[in-house]
Amino acid sequence: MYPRNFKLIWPSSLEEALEAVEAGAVPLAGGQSLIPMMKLRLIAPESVVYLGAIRDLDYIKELNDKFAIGALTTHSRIASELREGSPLISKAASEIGDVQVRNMGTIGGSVAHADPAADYPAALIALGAVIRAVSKNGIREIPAERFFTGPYQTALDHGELVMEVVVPKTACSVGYAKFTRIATDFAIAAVAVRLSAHDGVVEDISIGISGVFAHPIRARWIEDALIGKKLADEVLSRAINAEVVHEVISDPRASKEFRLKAFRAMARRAILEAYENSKV
Amino acid sequence: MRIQVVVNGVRHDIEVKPNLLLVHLLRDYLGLRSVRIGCDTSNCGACTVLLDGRPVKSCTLFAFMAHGRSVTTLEGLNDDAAEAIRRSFVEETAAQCGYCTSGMIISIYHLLKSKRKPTEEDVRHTLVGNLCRCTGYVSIIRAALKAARYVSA
Ligand SMILES: Cc1cc2nc3c(=O)[nH]c(=O)nc-3n(C[C@H](O)[C@H](O)[C@H](O)COP(=O)(O)OP(=O)(O)OC[C@H]3O[C@@H](n4cnc5c(N)ncnc54)[C@H](O)[C@@H]3O)c2cc1C
Ligand code: FES
Ligand code: FES
Repeated sequence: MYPRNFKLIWPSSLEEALEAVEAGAVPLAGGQSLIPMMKLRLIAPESVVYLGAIRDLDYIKELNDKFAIGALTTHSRIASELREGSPLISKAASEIGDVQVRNMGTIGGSVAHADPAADYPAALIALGAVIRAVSKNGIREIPAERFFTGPYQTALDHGELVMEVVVPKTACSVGYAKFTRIATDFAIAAVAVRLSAHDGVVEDISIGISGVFAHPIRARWIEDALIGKKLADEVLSRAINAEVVHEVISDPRASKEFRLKAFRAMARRAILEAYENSKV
Repeated sequence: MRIQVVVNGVRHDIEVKPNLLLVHLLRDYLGLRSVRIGCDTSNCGACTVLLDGRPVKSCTLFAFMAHGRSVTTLEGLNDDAAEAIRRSFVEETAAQCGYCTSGMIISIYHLLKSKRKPTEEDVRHTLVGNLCRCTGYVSIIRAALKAARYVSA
């Protein structure tokens, strides 16, 4: 399958790329979402600007209390280099697709593409990460929780690119659980948890969810039901099984009912994983 | 656009249309027919090649994305590790129709290069992106583990 031909812009700097994007060119990063869509002719852009040409957007910088991850950093690199430093983001990266996809796909491309079932968003929401967007007018910070606004929709404005993703360092323990039918696939339900507990009592918890709703969200209703409590089975069950007000997705891979069950099972697994980790 | 790319150790300077996919550059322009098009939808891994030493799906890259980089196909794998994998594939009957085999060997080759003594779990994890519709995977996994033993012997 051939994508329709297009005009290729090979930028020599971020500024040049921003100019092209402002003028309507579609950014290409690792191509692991864009190229399949172009091959299926779901989209056929007139012009494409290749961000891969800007090598200085490929970095992981360790700052005092956070990691700044450049938009062009691949899933493979994040999975291997942040295993110790930020295990939740590393785990989410390692759950994406397969080796080949992780070697090309980038964090900037993944968050900009905003598949409702992508792995990073759940982790970024749970970690309280910030997406730093850049345009000709400067840099803007958007909290992950407000970045994903709908299926394949984000808070990015026209002319903006994802420049980097900033992940706070945390002493909290974390958990991640993803349910798929096929190993390479996007999540039917994925849940990321960051939690701190003292003497078994949950002091702080944040939970990000992908795959279950029209866009990734934070599960405040579960968090509120767990803060200040010991995670006895009935406490956890009541929190997880509480009524969900958001509309659950139904698609050929999983009905609404099945997806809700998968979500609850993954929530239990991820919360317990983080809780167990908090004891060691 | 003009690209410079090293394929199996040979430098090429080629004019490509932006929409040319890497898999077509390799097969149709350079005649490297080990690279297979299976699904053409980024799922099967039959088109797997090494880009700067790492496995990628050549049906899901534009040729220009290889500019300034090196690409290795099955034709370019000629060291002991590659020989060990070929031998163990034959011994374990790890190929039936053979369509997935080039991609499988590339992925296993990369694993053996990055890990001396891979476990069965490592092999399974490595082959998530390589589908085989014939063998049921068991013989392929066995062959990969055997190749690792040949290499470290
Ligand atoms: C077989 C397969 C399985 C997959 N499985 C999973 C999975 O399990 N979980 C998961 O999360 N993902 C999965 N993916 C998607 C993968 O993570 C992609 O890498 C990712 O969605 C896109 O990143 P990219 O760098 O390839 O972006 P591209 O495909 O190049 O771009 C994607 C979109 O983002 C835009 N864009 C790219 N970079 C920027 C930027 N810096 N700023 C603004 N816009 C930008 C592009 O214009 C395009 O619209 C899978 C993909 C494949 C092919
Ligand atoms: S042909 Fe490239 S992944 Fe199937
Ligand atoms: S041997 Fe036929 S697809 Fe693998």
